[in-house]
Amino acid sequence: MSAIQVDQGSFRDPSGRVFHLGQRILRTVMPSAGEAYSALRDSETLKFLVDRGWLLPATEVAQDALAGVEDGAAYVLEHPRIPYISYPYEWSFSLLRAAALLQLDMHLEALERGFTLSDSTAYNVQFNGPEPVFIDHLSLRPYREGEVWTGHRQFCMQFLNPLVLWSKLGMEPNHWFRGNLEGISPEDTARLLPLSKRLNMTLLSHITMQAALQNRSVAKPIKAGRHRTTSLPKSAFKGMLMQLRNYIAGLEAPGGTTVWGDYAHNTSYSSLQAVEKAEFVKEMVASVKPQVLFDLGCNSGDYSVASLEAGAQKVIGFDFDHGALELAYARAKADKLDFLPLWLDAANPSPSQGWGQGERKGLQERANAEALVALAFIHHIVIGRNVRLDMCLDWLIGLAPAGVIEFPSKSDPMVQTLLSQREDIFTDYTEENFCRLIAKRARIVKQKHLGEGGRLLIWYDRR
Amino acid sequence: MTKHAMTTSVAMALLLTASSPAYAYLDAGTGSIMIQAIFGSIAGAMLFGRAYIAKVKAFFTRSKSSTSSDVE
Repeated sequence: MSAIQVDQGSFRDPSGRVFHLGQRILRTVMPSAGEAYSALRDSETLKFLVDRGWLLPATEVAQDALAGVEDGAAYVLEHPRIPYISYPYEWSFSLLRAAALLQLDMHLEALERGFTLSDSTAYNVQFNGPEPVFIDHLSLRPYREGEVWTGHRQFCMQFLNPLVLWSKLGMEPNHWFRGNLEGISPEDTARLLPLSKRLNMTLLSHITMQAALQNRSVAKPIKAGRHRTTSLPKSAFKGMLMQLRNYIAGLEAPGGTTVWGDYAHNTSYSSLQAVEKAEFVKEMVASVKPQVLFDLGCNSGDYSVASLEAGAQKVIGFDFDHGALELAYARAKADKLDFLPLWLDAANPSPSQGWGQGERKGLQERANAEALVALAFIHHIVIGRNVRLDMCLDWLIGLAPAGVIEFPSKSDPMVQTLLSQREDIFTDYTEENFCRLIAKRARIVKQKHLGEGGRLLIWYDRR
Repeated sequence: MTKHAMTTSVAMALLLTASSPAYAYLDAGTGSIMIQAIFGSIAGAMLFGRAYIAKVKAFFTRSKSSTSSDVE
């Protein structure tokens, strides 16, 4: 009944592809990779990495499970479905660093066991809550004595360089990374790093020198194949990985640990209105029972936590502010929550892009939430970004079939702040219009004012 | 030995900065491979250096340990 679809992001490696069979995720291992896979399995390395939580579990299913779609597979593997796929350009500093450390730890462990990673793409890491997991089993293959680290430049472009620009120069790389899915080159990074930041062995070798050698080799092309003879002793390979691991583990988000690390989360809500708001959200969540809930403008995650407490299986939070995202990450990590806070510019969400404009999916294409909460959110879009109220509600209600949206009226101090620097051209921004527009798109299950003349909460359901 | 290799590396990096890229689309990672060649040679040098130091150490420890046992 359910159609088989090839995953559009899975085509670069000829050793196998990923298929969606309804809710099931299947992966072919083609004969060219059959031996590498069976070595990984028979050496118990696969099991070890899965047991550690580093690698996504895999079970072998019938070889002909994809007959007629992808014939001739040596093995077919089935993986648990990752409830929500995210991309490195949507990660906060802490998420990108966690993914980098997972890559390096896995690579070091693999080398110890006679395996290596054939690439270093950040798209091979996904998140379960705040915990990273490696998803590409075919990247692991037996190590050949003396071979170089083929994924070195890729690792620098997708992990090291964005993290360094972020931590050392306070540049948020998300926009740039989204523009170039391969990441940020050592050549570009070297141009930006001031001399004072270069005087470090790790940066000098992996950024400055690599960029210089790359520029030189491009200017004076070396005969094809000359470098194929380069050999890297295993000790040096491990040394490079350890050096990068130690360096990246020591990098801090802009603002430093003092700002985000000492975050003592306060489970009691700051005001009576916040308590009322949490109760309202919880009532909706308890009724809808979402597998996945989107929290738009999640801030440090107060209402994500309320949603989890009320029975949401998983919350994906979105915020534009990296400071808020670091707080949310620290909280998810400390309390082991199934809560993943991601970076989003709601007025310009991630598009479908990459090869065939299908390799990496847009926010809309990945929107699988059964419910959403958008609290202290809508005025930032309508007044802050000049998006008409009806268009904003089309988008929000389109994202999830049920949810809670908060409406702060023009007398609200936050809205006053937004309006203080500009002319009020927002004649459609009224509570009556808000209610009318929602009622045209969905059923209003419940509504409530927070205090006398306070913000309005609406629980909508369009199912 | 190690220090020498590092100084050479730093000097190389400083020398090789000004050159304009051409045909960048043909060359995906020569810089990365050359860096790894340098890492490899440093590691080799360190290994050689360590083995050498170990030999020297071993020479002195042997004579030292015999004297210390004499004192006891």
